[in-house]
Amino acid sequence: MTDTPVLNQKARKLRYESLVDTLYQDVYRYAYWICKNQPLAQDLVQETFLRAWRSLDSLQNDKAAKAWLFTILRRENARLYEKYRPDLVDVDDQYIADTSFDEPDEAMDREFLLKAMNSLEPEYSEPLLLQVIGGFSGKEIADILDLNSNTVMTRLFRARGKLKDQFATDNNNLDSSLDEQSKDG
Amino acid sequence: MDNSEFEIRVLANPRDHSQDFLDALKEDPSRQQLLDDVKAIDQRLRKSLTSVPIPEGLANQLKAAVRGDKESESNVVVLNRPWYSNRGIALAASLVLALGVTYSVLFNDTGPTAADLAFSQQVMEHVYMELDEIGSQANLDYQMVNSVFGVVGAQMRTTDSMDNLNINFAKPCFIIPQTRSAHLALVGNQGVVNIIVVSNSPVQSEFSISDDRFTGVVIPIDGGNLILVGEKQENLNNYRELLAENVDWII
Repeated sequence: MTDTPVLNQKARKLRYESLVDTLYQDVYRYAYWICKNQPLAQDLVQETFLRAWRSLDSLQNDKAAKAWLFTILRRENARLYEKYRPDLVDVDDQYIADTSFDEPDEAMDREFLLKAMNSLEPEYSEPLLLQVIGGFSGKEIADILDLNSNTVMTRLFRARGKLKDQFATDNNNLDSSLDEQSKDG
Repeated sequence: MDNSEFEIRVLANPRDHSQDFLDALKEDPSRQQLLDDVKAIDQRLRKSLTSVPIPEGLANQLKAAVRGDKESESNVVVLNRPWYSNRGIALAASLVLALGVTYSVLFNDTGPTAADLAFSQQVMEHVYMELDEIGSQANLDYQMVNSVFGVVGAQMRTTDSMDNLNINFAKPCFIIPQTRSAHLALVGNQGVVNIIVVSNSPVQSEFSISDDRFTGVVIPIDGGNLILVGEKQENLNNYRELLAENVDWII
């Protein structure tokens, strides 16, 4: 006996809703970090999942769903928003810092990290976001970004190298500041 | 593996578990220190990047958004579809509707612009497109309604008069590309009443619209538009007043 269209549609909806429940947080975070604006990120996620719903039958394996959604999201971002960028980056960064419940030193650490991340060029930050937020392998990142694996690994190496240099500089500045304070004391 | 290559591998992927990487790690104690340092940075980075607050109700919005999505049904055979879901009839209805809207706009002092007219056509087309889904979500609760209203920065208050509204449809939508909208529908005295909120201001002055079946009003509000569309004999002013009293606009 074959499934009726109504049952197929119901199964399709259940599959979609399962994908939403499992992946919407990661997809939203990735959206936020590539457009750095909360309302835009929300729109982007909405469009991404709508497109995913419409082409759900092309997704052969649900284990590949995250990479598939991230790829759709990147394309939607290019299509919808790359020409429109409201200047709200600082506001949103502050919002994240303000909504943190960390101790003050952790909040400072977070603010520093966000600034360091924002200072990276997109060609370096994108593979790093995919690796850190998405948990993707080098091969998966290469597929999503349409690059070869060696290029991805080089960009990841440079991205972390830049962050590491900034942390070293920040720590040196902190040490100097503490030295000054101890002399003054 | 020399130190330079090892450093590249660590920075490219501090969670590398390949055998040659693990073997190289054991060759020099200082390599473990480098790996630990980079992993510590990664951990801090992950914590910061994942601290982005997720909008409340987002999962529900994503699920609600696909209810009634016509494009997705193109590959599915559905028996006994309503007459207005037929593509040919829908297109013809749309053309008639477009003319109807254009000639039935009630001009105010300044009159609607060509963009206003185009927008009102898009609104009416959207209302017709959603007709077969309206009523499919009977008795929606405040949480569901507000998760959709929240998309455009609106919030419905819990009051007795709002409790009596039989809201049977709530869905985020994109009437205009790149512009968030929320579409609610309820059972009015004459039939369906559509409440649409668009999150920016495509229309600057209030005007009325109508076609053979529906009558409506486009109302500029702070930062957006409120649109009411109901059956010909429906008194939309009642809903306008009710919304004014019971919906907080934060856009």
